[in-house]
Amino acid sequence: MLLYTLRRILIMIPILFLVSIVVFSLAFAMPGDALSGQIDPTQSPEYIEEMREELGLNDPVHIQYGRWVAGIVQWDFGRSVVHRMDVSAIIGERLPNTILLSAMSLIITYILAFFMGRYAGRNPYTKGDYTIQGINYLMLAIPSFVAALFAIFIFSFQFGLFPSTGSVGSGMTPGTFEFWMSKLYHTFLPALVLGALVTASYTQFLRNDIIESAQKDYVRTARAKGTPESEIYNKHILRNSIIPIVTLFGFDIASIIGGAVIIETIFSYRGIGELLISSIERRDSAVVLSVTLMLSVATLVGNLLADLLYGIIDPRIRVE
Amino acid sequence: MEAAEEIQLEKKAKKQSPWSIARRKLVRNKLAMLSLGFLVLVITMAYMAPLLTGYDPQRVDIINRNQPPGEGFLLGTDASGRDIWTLLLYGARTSLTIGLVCTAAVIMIATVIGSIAGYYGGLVDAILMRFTDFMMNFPFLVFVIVLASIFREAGIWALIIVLSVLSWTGAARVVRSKVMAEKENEYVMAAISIGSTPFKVIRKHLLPNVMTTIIVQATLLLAVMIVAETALSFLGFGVPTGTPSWGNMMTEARDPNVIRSYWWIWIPPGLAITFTILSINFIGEGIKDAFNPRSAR
Amino acid sequence: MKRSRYLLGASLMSVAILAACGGEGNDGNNNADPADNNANNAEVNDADNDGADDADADNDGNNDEEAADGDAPQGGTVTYGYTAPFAGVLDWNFYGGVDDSLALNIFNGDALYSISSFTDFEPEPSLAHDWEWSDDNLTVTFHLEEGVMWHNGEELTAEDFEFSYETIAHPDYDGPRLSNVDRIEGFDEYRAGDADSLEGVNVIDDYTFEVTFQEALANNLENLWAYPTPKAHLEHLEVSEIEDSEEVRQNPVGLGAFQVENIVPGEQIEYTAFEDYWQGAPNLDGAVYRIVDGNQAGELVAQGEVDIIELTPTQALPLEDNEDVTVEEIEALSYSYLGFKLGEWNAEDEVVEMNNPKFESKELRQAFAHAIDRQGIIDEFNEGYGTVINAPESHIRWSYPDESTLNQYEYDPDRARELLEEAGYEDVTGDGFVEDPDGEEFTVNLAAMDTPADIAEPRAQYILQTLQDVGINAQLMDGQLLDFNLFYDLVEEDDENIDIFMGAWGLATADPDPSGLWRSNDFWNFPRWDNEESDELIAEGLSEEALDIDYRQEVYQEWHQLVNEELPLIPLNSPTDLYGINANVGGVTVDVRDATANPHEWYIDEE
Repeated sequence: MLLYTLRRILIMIPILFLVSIVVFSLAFAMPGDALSGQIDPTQSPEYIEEMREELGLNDPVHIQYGRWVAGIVQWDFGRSVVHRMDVSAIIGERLPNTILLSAMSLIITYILAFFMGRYAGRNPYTKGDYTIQGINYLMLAIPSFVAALFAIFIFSFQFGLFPSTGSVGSGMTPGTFEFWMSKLYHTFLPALVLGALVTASYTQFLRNDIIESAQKDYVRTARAKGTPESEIYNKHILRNSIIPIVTLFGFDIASIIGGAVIIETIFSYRGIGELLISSIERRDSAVVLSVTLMLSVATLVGNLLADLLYGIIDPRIRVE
Repeated sequence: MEAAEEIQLEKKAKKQSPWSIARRKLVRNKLAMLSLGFLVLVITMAYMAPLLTGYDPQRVDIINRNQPPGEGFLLGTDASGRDIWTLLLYGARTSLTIGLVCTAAVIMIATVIGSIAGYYGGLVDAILMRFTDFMMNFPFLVFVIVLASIFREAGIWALIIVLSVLSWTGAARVVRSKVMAEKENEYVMAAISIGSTPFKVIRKHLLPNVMTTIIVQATLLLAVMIVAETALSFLGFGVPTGTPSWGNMMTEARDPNVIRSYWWIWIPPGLAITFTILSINFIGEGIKDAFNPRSAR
Repeated sequence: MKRSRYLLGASLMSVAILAACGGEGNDGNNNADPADNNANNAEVNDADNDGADDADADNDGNNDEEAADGDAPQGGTVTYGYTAPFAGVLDWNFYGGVDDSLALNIFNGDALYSISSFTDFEPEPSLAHDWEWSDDNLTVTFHLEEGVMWHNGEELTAEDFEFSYETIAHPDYDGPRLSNVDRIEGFDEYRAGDADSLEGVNVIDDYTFEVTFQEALANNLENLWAYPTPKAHLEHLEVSEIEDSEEVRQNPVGLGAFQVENIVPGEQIEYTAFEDYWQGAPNLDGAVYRIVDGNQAGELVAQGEVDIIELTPTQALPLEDNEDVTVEEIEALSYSYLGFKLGEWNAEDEVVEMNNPKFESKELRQAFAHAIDRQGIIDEFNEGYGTVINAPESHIRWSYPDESTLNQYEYDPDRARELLEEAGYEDVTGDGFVEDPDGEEFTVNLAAMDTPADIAEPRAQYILQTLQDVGINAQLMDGQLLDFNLFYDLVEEDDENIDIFMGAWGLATADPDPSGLWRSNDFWNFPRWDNEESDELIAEGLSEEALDIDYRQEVYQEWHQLVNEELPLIPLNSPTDLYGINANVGGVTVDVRDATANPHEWYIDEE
């Protein structure tokens, strides 16, 4: 297992290198730069050209790439022209919000999937089961941005339960209890949308697994011994059914990243995804570059994690 | 003569049987049939849009802005005085066309790469699959957005290419494993041994058997592509503004005032997208079920 | 509530001409630098300097009676909202955009003098109560107010100004303000590192300093950097370190009515009252500068989450009847236009070449003007906020010509058709669109930006529609709107596909001089209009004789009439800036750039 893990991690290195090249060339191909928007008659075109020269925007691609990679190795991601700050500082400011959102949405996913899957698995082919299946189909079908708009319309505007925008209430002092409560409060609705939509596959998985396990010998034995039904389900079946779900965690990272970009933008939630979109709009290439790279690495790690976890659960996979 | 015909017929019947069984199963699946009906209706209406509405989807009507549903405007108008019903029809055309074209393109790429990798195996397979793995490492939506912003000025075709190029990986893997499995069958071995060209083997013997998998993949992809297009357009990185599309219709809902007060602008396209995806998913499930020999229906 | 006509943030004083998105750039897409680095030639203000003492007295009086520390209710906190995260560079020498200048205005808004719409855009004394020019017009001597205190307890002295100039002119300085100091004597040597100090800046005593310029130019005063820098606070830093220093980003020091208490980067800044403010302690206990979601501006001000915020027309309209909110309007110093590409830029000789025969015909251009429903555009896409203009100038400024002398180009499709016919454009083929005088197909490509997001597309579509209605086969270039950057790239390089284009210019607050945008050797003359008479008039407007403002006005009157007749571009409208202000908040001055002026006069009246 250790060897397998090591091998997988080693393979990551050339892949990372290639990913960085792809990401860089994308950012390089983006039309315009932050300077091309400077329409200012008092600045001569020569001045802007000079600034480009100074910022190294006119250097050959490979030199710019080399400079960028050298910077990253020293944890220097460049400087945002729009925010006039180091990119690492901006990301550092936004990342906790996205992590909070992701964590909360994962928790919501697990809780919903757990209860819905358990119920459907224990009562298969009943009305309740069919209702849950129906909900699942709907969750799978509704695009996240549509769901987000409906959530805002219903929970924020019709019932006024949750704020429709922002990541924290105004006037809060960071670090205080109120601050964190306000954060959670602001994060709940986007996290609910993000979390609820991916529940379907978990619920389905859990349901089918429970139904299947219920036919197994050890369950029959337990039942024959007179173990109470609830104990059979909670102790024997559920424990076995939950483990495989864990492997999906790695893939979740990738799907949450995509979802977060959309959800954060709709809720004006100050996280990485919203940062990416606004930076693309403002041609802040240093930020776009870093965020894209970061999200790619996160996806990479997520996939790796999924493989490794799968390897733990199912040893056969390692032999490949 | 008669006997020969009989044999011919029997042969035909036998040859078609898995398909006709599947078809019969599918027809009996009410949900899938209902969905299929809905989808066909949507597609028909989309392509017959000019017959179903008298309004121009692009013409601005400054007198009738933000009209609620009612007389004259079945579903009301948006902030530019465009009829929502008309936009919905023309938008369906754009969104569905993009979805269908992308799906076709993706299936083609995936089939070519998947079957080559699966058929040849070895080094070819290793190279193609490493490449596929590599492509899978990119967060889909993030890259679509970045690429779409680069090629935004190039219009709808650029969008279609970007979407297609980034989404063939999953399907290619599925096709590959299926081809690999089929290749072990004796009749394929036989075909190879009598000197059929690889192209012929793949086309004549392998693909027909992989077809069901491909069809199921295609339905899944169609749904994904429609969602991707609408989401991108909603964020402003998709179809050019002004071209009616379901996603573009919803961009107005980025203003909370529209979400709250002008619900008729965004709810119809929102529901249209959801129900379309839902019906595509049901059809996909139905097909999967129909081809599954173990399924009861 | 009465509006004070007193001080305005000095950031207004010399705002450059800039490209805006029609003044509705709330979407953060506008990369144009709205900062104040101005090099427009302005009139000499000697005339005013003589009377500066009187003006000063007037103003102080004004201030005392209206801000009336005693009368206005005391206490409370006012929140000023803005819709894009601020960069947090809280130093005038280094800041980049409106996001930071708003924050700066609240705690450090005072400069040597101020210029505002309420003073007819002429310099009014502020930190300098007086200034005078030498006989050769090369040297200006400033006399500072005494007893002006920085928040760190230091007193403002002439050295704080010298420190500003030497910071900006320093070899390591890479901010955007060079053009505000580069006319000072000795700039080149100091910038090159060959001199230890700026020769042209001379501190005479704590409250007096003089600045000598290399040349006697008309607008040296307006062009000169006017903000002091707290020397004691920053002098231990290298120039290259200042922008990122804690002294700037975390504990900035100013001399305004409020001092910075707490900064949450990119989200909000809290201020407390500065009791030692030189114009008297503020009425409020504190102020907050808060970044909010632009889409929600209207709701937030209605709920009292923010007290002052700029609104879009769609947000302002529903608030007009809201009792909790006062909507204040002010004509923006900007205008949007539809330009014709008449030629191209000759980079070699740095002149425009009017070599595109397509729009040669004046009647044709005028036909376009009559075909476009300019009032309709304001009514429908700006909710009626804005004014149709017939000259490329804000009509609130003295230099706006007499409207009765201008062709009005009212929306009149029949007149447009007539003019087309006169110009020889007739529908020969019977397809509903006119052909050009040679009988060739006549199509027109419109280039337009995709901002502001919600109205750009229907607005462009509406213009195309009205043009098509009179028989002009107008299409959107490439069938879609262009991204801000791309739009200006294409317009700048005179892309051959562009026939007409829809843009917007901001106007300099300091001076109405059209140089920079209109002369035949101006790169930013986007229509590429080459007219000898225009060049002469622009030059005349800056001449010695034009020191007489009446004469100058006459010159500009004539120039505007020429533009109005020749119509190299069709001015569409001058937008209205809108501010939602909580009805309980008083003393707020809304001006052409923002509403942050005189924050010490803000007050809250709970009744």
